[in-house]
This record gives sequence, structure tokens and C-alpha cells, in this order.
Amino acid sequence: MNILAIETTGPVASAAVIDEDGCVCEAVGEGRLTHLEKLVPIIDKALADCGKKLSDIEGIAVSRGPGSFTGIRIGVATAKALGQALGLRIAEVPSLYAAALGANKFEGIICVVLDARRSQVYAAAYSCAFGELEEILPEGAYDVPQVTEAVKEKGPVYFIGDGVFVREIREELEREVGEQAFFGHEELRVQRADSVAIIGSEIFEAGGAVSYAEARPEYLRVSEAERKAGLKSS
Amino acid sequence: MKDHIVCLAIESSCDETSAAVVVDGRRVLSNIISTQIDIHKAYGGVVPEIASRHHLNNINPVIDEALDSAGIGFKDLDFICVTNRPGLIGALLIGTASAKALAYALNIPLIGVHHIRGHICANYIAHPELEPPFTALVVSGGHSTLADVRGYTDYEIVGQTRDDAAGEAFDKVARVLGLGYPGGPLLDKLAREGNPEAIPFKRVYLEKDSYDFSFSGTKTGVLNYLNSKRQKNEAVNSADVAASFQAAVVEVLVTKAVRLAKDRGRDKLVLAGGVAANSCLRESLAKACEKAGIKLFAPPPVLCTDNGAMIGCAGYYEYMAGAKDEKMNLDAFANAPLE
Repeated sequence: MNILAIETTGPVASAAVIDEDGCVCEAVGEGRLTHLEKLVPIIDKALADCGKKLSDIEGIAVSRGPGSFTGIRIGVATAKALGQALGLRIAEVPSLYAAALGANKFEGIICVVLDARRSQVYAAAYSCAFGELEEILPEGAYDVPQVTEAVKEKGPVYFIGDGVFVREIREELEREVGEQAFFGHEELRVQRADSVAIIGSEIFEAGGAVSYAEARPEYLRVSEAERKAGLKSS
Repeated sequence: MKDHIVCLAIESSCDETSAAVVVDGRRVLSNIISTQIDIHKAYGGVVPEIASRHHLNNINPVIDEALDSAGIGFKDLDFICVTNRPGLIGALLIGTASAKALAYALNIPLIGVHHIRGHICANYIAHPELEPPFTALVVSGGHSTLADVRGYTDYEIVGQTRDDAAGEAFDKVARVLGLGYPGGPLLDKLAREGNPEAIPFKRVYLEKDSYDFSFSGTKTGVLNYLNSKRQKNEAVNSADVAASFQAAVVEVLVTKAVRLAKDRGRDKLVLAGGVAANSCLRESLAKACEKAGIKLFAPPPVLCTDNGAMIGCAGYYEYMAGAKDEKMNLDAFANAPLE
């Protein structure tokens, strides 16, 4: 099936189309943090590049977080409204899993680390062999030692995501994981829609897509005000 | 050419998620408003992150309900309009992102609407005979604006607040009086039991001829009054404080609004915004307008609150005036001039 995928949880917005043959066309936005303004043109370009019209699309995949709260909402709001207007179902794709899939040429452990501030990270880890990922640390908001504990002494660990570029986080990862720690280069710093499209099509095949009304973001955190008030997330 | 122009209008600039179906600008087929007041009550004010999260959860069902209760479907729409300025940026972007995706999917035009223009246009819905030009006084939690409205899409800002908006000052005074949230309506209610002449709070008129407002001095006057009473261990009559404070703010609003109408030769004055529901403001303005031979227009309470219908009305006139389709590039702005 033809699926339109949207990724806006990181600093660069992107959209991709995956067709019946698993062929992926991706369009990546220029400039950072202009997601609201640029997302529709990016979607339009991804469709044009793969020679499809919006009416050819049979499902929507959206990177539903974690990541930038604002970015998550722009992507999820766009996906839900497209689903609503076009009568399409939505695959809610975990952003960290999508990021890991983008690095699956690495053999060993892939650990995605996003800077969550307040000395925490949004992280998940997968063991990777022959391109297949198996979860070993579920996505969550963690203190860095919780992450290193889960991945160290299990062979080489490949750290990717914007957290790798935060000095304090990187130093702690290096110190704890030692010589087995490897760090992704700049282009793996951001989440991308091509992986969202691939995971989205797997979710559709497995029957896991939801209606536009059911599709939800995953922030992995309550708001600051709720945290301070000690109230439960709604 | 079609007989009628049908639009879906979306509003999410603060703590109300709203969608409306409006025909030819003034005929409201549906106006669904999902308010978050009860959620933000626990925090004593609107928390932007929480508001944004709830807008995202609410917006699609609100749109469905607006279409359902209007008895139409997406295919019947001629265009979509959305509040994209000014407001809480995280809140605005839920409506704007949703509206862009809908317009793109349906391949119909999208018009971005200024929230305050929407408030003024609420009066066109409530009063079919109303036409510009007129003087407009817009008073809400975020705005105190005096405008000369020369045409349906031709606005001139003549005065604005230099510090607190009137509604903001109402909310803050309500908070120090311990009235709860949202403070404005509670203050209005309490004020009805008090003597508006009990305490002579300062009226700030700024420079002669200025149409700008300043309410923070009057608000500080209330705080100082309450502090000195507390220090002297004297009892405070909250109703008198509420009535006297409200009278001070309202007097300035009314005086300047009527002066502007006379100055510009307008025989109509239009009241708009959330604080337009304030009974003291309505009564004082009605009296002053009658004396000056000016006809006063104000929307019913449901159209004073943030709502999609008013955005649909404003969007219609922008659409008819040839506003360009912005579904590809519309952005949201926390601050934006009315003009």
C-alpha cells in the first residue's frame, strides 16, 4: 500500500512516501524549526518526487514522539487532519525506533539518545544484526546512568540522536561505556521520515493502525506545570 | 457561481478549541466550543503546554461535531479559515496545522484570520444590519484596543494598552481578592454588590488626546490599598474594592471609546472581546453612547468568548476581498498587528 510518512519531532522536518514495492521517496525540509510553515510543501514535494497524488495515498504514518513537544504536535495534528479529511487510518510510529532503523547498518547495540533537559534523556536501545532490530531498552525518559547500565558490557554500542552532541551527556556515555562506545555522525543526529515510512508500513501490515480520532502523541513526560503540581498526566 | 459560500472556521488561540460552519459570513450553521476552563482552574491561569496538549486531543472531534451539527460534509466546503495570530503560539499551531492539512487534503483555499478581527466580526453575526464604518472597542484577557473600522477588511488601530490588558487587570485583582479563576466574571458578579464610589482608584488617561490605555497603575492602586488595610488590621469590603476598581477601568474605556467615535464622526460603536460580557462595561457604555447619540452594538455572551463562528465571519470577508490561499505556507504568530 502507498503510505505517506511525516517526521517533525526533531529539528528538521521531513516527509516520505513508500509505495507497494517498498520503494521510498523522501523530501527533507531546509532550515530548522520551521515545521508549521514548511510541512505541507514538504509533503507535496515527497508526493511529486515519487509521482504520486494525495488521492493515491492509502495510509498515514506519523512519528508520534518522543522529541520536541511542539514538533510532535505539528506532525500529529497534520496527520490526524489528513486522516480525517481523506478517511485514512494512521500508524503511530515511535520516533526513537525510527531513528534506530536509520542506523541499522551497524552490528551491535544501537542506542538513541535525545536531550530531554533537566539532566535526562529520551532513550531507547536495540540490538541490531543483519538490519533487524530487537528492543533491549524500551523508550522512556531516563537519567543517563539508567541508559548506560542497560547497554554496557554487551559489545559495541552505537549512540545516535541529538543527545550525543550535548557535551555532558556524551562525556557520561564515554566514561561508562568506554571503548565500546561509538558515536553517530552529524547526519544521524535527526530523525527522518524514510524510516517512519518503513515502520509505518509494518504497523499497517500488522493491523496496528488507528483512526484519526484515536491517534495520539507520545511525549513520555507530563507538562512542567503538572509535574510541579504533582498531578497526574491527563 | 454558487449561490452560497460555506466555510469551516477553526479557533485555538488560547484555551478554547472551537470549530464552526458559517454560510456567507453571517449565517452560523454550527459553532462548537470545547473549553478547558476547568482544567486550567487548578493552576490559576492558562498553562500553555497543557492547553496545547488538550487542543490536539480535542480538535478533530470538535471539527466533526461542527460539520455534523451543520448537516454538511467536507465536500460542501468552499474554503477553510483559521486563527493564526495573535495568541499562545503552541495553541495557535494546533488549529493552524490542522487547517492546513484539511485544506491541502480537500484542495480548497485556506485563509489565516486575525483573532481580534474575529472578535469585532462577532457583531456582524449578532446584528445583521451592522455595517462598517464604526468605532470598535476590543477588550479581553490579552487585548485592550480601540480601532477605527473603515471597511470589512480595513482596520486602523488608534489606541492600545501600554501595559496590562483590561481583562488581565481584572483577573489579577480577582486573584488578590481570592475570587478564583477565571477572575473577570467573578469580579463582575461581586462588584454588583459593592459601591463603585467607595474607593477613588486612579483613572489613568495618559497624554491629552491619547487613545492608549494603561491599567497597571490602577491595579497597583488596588494592591496598595489592600496592603495598607491589612497593615492597619482593618477589614476590607471586597465588594466595594471590586466595584470601585471596575468603575475606574470602565470609566477610562468608555470615555476614550466615545471620544474616538465623536472624533472620527462615527455614529456606531462596537464592543467586542471576552470582557465585552462584563455587565458594568456594557451598562456604562450604553449610557454614554445614548447620551452622545451613538448606536451601541455588542455580541451576546456566547459570541464574546473565543469561538469559531466569529473567525468564519472575519475569514469570509477576507476571502471575498481576495485574500490569497495560504494552505501551503501559512504560519502562526504570537503577536501580530490588527491592521
